[in-house]
Amino acid sequence: MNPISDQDIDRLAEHYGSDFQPDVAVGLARLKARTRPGAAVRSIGRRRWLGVAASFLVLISAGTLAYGAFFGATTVVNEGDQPMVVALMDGTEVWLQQDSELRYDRTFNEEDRRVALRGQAYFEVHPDKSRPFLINGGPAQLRVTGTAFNLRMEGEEMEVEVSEGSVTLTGQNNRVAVTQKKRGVVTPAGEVILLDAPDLNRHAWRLGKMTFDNTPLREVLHTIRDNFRVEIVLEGNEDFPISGTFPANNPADILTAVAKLGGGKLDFPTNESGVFRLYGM
Amino acid sequence: MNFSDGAEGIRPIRSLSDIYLQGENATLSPPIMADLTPATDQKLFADLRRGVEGALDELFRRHYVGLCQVAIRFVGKGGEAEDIVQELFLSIWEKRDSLPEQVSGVGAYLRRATRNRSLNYLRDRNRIPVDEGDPPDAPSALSNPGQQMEEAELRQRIHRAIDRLPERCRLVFVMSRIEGMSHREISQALDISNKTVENQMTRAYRFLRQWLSLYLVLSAMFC
Repeated sequence: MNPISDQDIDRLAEHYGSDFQPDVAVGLARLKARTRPGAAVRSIGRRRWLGVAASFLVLISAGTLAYGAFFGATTVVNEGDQPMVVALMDGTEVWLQQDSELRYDRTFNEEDRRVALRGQAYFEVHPDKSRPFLINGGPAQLRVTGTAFNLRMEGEEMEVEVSEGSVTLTGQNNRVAVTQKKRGVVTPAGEVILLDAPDLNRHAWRLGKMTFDNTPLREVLHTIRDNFRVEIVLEGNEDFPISGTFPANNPADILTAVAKLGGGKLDFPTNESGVFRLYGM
Repeated sequence: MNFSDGAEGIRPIRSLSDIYLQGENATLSPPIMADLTPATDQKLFADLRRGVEGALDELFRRHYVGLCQVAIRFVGKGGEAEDIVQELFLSIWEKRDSLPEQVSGVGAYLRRATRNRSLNYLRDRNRIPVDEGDPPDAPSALSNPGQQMEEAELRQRIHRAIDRLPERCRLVFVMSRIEGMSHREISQALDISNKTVENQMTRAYRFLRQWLSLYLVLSAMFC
């Protein structure tokens, strides 16, 4: 075997850090919210709101704990390999993605409708103005009366994309209405970000298609990664825009199409790596 | 989607906006359509100084990912890296009046600023080690001996090995080999002697070489 030279090591180390692919659209929206305060996010009398939020928080957590301890909560986990439909007692239907989890307790549909989510789901909330539908996660709260939306909860980050009607998304210091074909994100730090979502690509895991219009490759890969909750590694610095509608019943189909478009290759996940790898583009 | 394949070495043009996406830092040759050259980074930088918000956006789109990758090499965490680059863009927007009139390369200017901000970030949090640190553990076991060691696989292993270097050694190696900083710049940034920089480089190469050869030996034995 040849001895390993410093040059070999330099060559192999060259891309250290390059597999980090932050979402440019989210980053830019975050910057714009700070260079133009009030442009994307409406602030609602910060100090007053914090006081109200804090007092509510105490009440809510005490209440949930007591009920949880006395009556137990219901947890639905989709361990299958297909999306699963959960019908809630208020008439709401929830399409739960694989490896996702929905929780609610016995007080559901009494004064309000509270659920918690880990992973991703599509909600068709039965209209009922007197009992708001509420989802808490990390620093975020989502408030709905009756509408349809896709929700993803990854760690402390909440992301909602609305296909019908409007929902209210609340972060640390501000609150924003997310309307049809918009996407709202609350970062783990509690910042609220609002983006356009003309193609409703967050719904792709359920509807089986994704549409892009001059979208940069890296953003396309982000969408696929978040939507199917898979890891994707892109080797090299290539970027180019992609347009068109693609079948997206699973991540493999659409990634194969993307690799073909870019003239590159795709490696499927193995037990060892667990990631899709795109290279040679 | 329609696109024509260019001659060898020429990047195929896939759409008009593809041309716009090519900054001066594009790694491949520019497209062969002289009339449609994109606004250069230089032009965008000049517009930014005049307060054109669109110029800030375009510079952000072009450089955000690359700069975050620079920052993560220093700080290690994606969220922190993004925060550092966000602060950088916010600051160049707020201080646009006092930006240098001429920068020789905008990309290089932004990268340098990101490196300095990353180092300050580490320094403010006392995360720049003052001592050598313990020698890293040698790799103990091969996770999947039957598998061929492909280039990409090796690369992943080296990246993980770099992460396991003692922090000062890792910073010196990354600053020198990945960020291309001179030994003098590194010794000033970390407040250590030139000699220490050289020692840390030797140490890093020795460890990475050992780490790599052990894997190669094991995989040769099992394949």
